[in-house]
Amino acid sequence: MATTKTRPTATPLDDIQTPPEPTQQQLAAAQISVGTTATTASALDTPTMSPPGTASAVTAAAAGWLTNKHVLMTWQTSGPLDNWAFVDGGTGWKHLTQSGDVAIRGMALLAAGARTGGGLVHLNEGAAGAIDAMYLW
Amino acid sequence: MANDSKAVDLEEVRTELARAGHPWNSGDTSMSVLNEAERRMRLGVKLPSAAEVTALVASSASLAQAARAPSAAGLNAGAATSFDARNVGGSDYTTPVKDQGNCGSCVSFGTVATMETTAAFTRGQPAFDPDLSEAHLFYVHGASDGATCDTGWLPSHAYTYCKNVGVTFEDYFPYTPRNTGGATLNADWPNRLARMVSYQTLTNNPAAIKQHIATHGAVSACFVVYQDFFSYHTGIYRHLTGAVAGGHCVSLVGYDDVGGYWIAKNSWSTGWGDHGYVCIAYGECGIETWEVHGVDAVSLRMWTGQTQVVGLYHANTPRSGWAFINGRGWLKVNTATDSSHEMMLADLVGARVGNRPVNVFENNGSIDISQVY
Repeated sequence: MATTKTRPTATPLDDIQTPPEPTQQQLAAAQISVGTTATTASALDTPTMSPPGTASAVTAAAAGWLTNKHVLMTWQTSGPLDNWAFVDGGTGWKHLTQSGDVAIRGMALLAAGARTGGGLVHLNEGAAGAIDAMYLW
Repeated sequence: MANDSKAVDLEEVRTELARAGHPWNSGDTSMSVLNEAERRMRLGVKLPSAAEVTALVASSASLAQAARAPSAAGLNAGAATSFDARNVGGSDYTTPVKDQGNCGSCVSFGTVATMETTAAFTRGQPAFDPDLSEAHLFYVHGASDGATCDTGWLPSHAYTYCKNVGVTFEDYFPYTPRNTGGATLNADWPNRLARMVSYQTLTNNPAAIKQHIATHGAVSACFVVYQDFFSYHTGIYRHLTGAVAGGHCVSLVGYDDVGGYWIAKNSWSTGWGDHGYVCIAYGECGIETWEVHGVDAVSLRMWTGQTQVVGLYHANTPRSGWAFINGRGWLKVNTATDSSHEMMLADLVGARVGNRPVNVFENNGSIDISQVY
């Protein structure tokens, strides 16, 4: 059977029809951010939020955090550090962390799980617009 | 362990309570129905000399007056005015009240109860409810230190063993008084172990004691027991009558600045006191000035079976994946190598997405082994 290498057609989702690919502007911004992200790794190394529905769960967006979102689509290319997540609520495409191969692979696992399972995510957006930390509930 | 003294006289206690305006209520308890020798056997902290007992009781009273004064010069700085680990936002971080029975093992019970509360509270996991082995601490560690049911022990020694070696769980060495049940320590105990990461000595510092309770859930404390204490039922205990009976160790799980008392979890069964608890007034019986210790953190090495992955986390650094395990809180996904970290994370993501049961073996905050069904 012949195989095709075209990108799968997006499935219509709740609040979008077909997620747009990252814009050139977004791509350029992401390229600039590689290796220059100002995020302090130590500040994000340990999770501090509690599960939704618990007494100490986050109830308001903390600085830098997008809370109670969903990943509607993921996108990746053969380029380095080129994994993206399309986030609902008008957020749009977000680059996953640009800090290195190992970190982005771990975060991509969570993004894929979020897309497959439809769970809530909280996302920390770094200075360059990439996701520097992710909770999946 | 105990001085010569006459038995509790309930009539005399009631008379003194009436004279003092009934600060607390007396009655028949699981202790008052015992004979004098049996009661003293429950007091397992070696008393210092009579002069030293008098000094530490006086010192405690002095500290309490200073703590209650409006111009307390920061004695209460940093701590809330009240705290009760049995009800923190509706959650109970304490474990059930136990019964040490006919053995001077209160040091083991007070220490273990403090570890249990701190282990649950610092993880934000009231459902954890760990049941650690007083028998391991007393009949193994205590025995190696010379402690017996008849001699009692000291918390400072017990804490050293809890930090350097740790204690296993109740199912690996169930407690019976004097080990009459004949249980032995399960040989696998190193793989089912709770260990103090570090601890603080808080003696003579009420403000630090409160701060530690409010941030770690509990501390252990020793105090001088007088005869009237055996008949305590409810209210705020103050020594009113009766001679010194001995020294005792409990776990303080709360305090109240308005009422001026500590909330203590005792180990004389729920048939004593207020369902096993007692409110002891600030400055009474050397409660702040003898031996007060608090645990900073409890590390665990154990399996948790048939549980769920509630959430996952990953940051922007290598091997920064975490899993929130039901009843256990946040545990770091193993960090041995990049690939082992990613494979375990992938499996746990799958468990979360598929809502599959998991078994996890945690070791000092990290998941060493995971099994997904």
